[in-house]
Amino acid sequence: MKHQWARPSFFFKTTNRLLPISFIFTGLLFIAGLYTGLVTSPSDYQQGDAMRIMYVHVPASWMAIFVYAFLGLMSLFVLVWRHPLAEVLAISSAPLGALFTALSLLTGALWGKPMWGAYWVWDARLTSVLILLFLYGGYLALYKAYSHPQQGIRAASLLALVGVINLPIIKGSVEWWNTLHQPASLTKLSSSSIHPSMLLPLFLMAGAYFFYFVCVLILRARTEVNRRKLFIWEAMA
Amino acid sequence: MFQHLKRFFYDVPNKLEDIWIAPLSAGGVIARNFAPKPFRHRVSSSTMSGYRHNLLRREIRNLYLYQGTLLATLSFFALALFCMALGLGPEEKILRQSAPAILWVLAILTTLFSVPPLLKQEAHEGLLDEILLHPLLPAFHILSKIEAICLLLGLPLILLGVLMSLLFAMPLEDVMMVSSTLLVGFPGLSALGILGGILTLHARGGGLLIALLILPFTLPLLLFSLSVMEMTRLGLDSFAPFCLLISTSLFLVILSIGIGSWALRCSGEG
Repeated sequence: MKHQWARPSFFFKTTNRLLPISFIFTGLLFIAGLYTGLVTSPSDYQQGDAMRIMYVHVPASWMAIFVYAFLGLMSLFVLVWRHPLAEVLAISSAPLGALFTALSLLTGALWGKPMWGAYWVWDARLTSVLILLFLYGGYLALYKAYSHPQQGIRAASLLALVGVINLPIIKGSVEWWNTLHQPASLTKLSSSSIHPSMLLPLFLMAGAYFFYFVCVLILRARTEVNRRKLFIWEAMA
Repeated sequence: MFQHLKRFFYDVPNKLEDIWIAPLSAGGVIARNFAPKPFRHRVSSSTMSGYRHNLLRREIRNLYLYQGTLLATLSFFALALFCMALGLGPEEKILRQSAPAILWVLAILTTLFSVPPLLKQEAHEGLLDEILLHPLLPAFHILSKIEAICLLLGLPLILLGVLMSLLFAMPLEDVMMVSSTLLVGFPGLSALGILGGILTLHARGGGLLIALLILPFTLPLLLFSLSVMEMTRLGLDSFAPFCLLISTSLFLVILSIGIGSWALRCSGEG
């Protein structure tokens, strides 16, 4: 299985089938999520319509963390098995993760202005997410600093592995420290504190973000594979 | 036991003491005497402690060759502190409150800016390749590098910090507290500097700025030490954040030893 995935032709063949499906899912879920979130779901009794930014903010934050976990896993594959597809997936997922993190911070700032009265507060959750953005930036900068991609990816993967420590800190930041940011409303152990009419659009939007990630990851990975082909041809010529 | 002691005192020419006696300015003469000799491989009859002793000695000697860089680094630290104190103005309350943060941030920047170029120079002279050829694990070498940097960069930096804290009108307890947090946190800081240096060994130009990508990992040290200072200022017991600071520092040392030796091997393979 591992060796099969290292073959570019197999990767292209598999994703040929996967790509249209995830495109369709992305479109449908975005339409459904935005419609239910912005039109049919009720507004909050305290926050009013400003709360609707949650349907953009929360899934973006989830994806920011998920993509970093994915990046960490791929970095492990790069370092331990030297899997070429893992290199391609890692380097093509990093800008997406940075995008989600930036989106999360931006929408959080816009939400924070009416609710907390400030765009930015020095809160544990906000700070740790900002550090996540710096980690993504550092990963990309380190990769770009090497002239040979194979060398760069290894140094960057080591950095990404070290940065995985930040994930539990982000998760725990609202519980360990006394912060302004509210703790998680969705937990495995207790039943959700959100009404189903608000939960449905949230999950729809999360699915939309996820399939968007899959689509763009596939497209970027294909470009990266082709770029590597060119790199090798140039070296051979 | 006796053999141990004998080797400790006689086997290697013992010039370590001279380093501590000599003032930094007289280093030119000493550096010539300390020119790194080819490292002897003693695979057969060495215990671990004997190896470790030699490793630290070797690292200190190598680092001492770059004393010009170290001196420049220390003077950067002092001048930056001076500029900050000047920029904050003569208001004593503001100076006193912001001094620990400024000391810590400048210590972090100084370390992260100065250690990676040192490593790059060592790599250029082939000292890092020697590490990979040595029978002992690279982790031990990296550990002794950390120790050497703590001794030759960290201690003077902390002393300088104590001296410059006069500019900030700090009370004696604050000075003691901030230098003890620096003392405890510096192993972690220098470990991160070394990790950044190893990760960016073969990076092309602008490596100085790239080394700063390790900066987010130093933030726990900064936060814990500042909470120690805050507690002290409020007259509370600062034992808990101090313990957290110690554990973070040691954890960073262990982390960068492990990841650093991995990265060193990766960069050695090219």
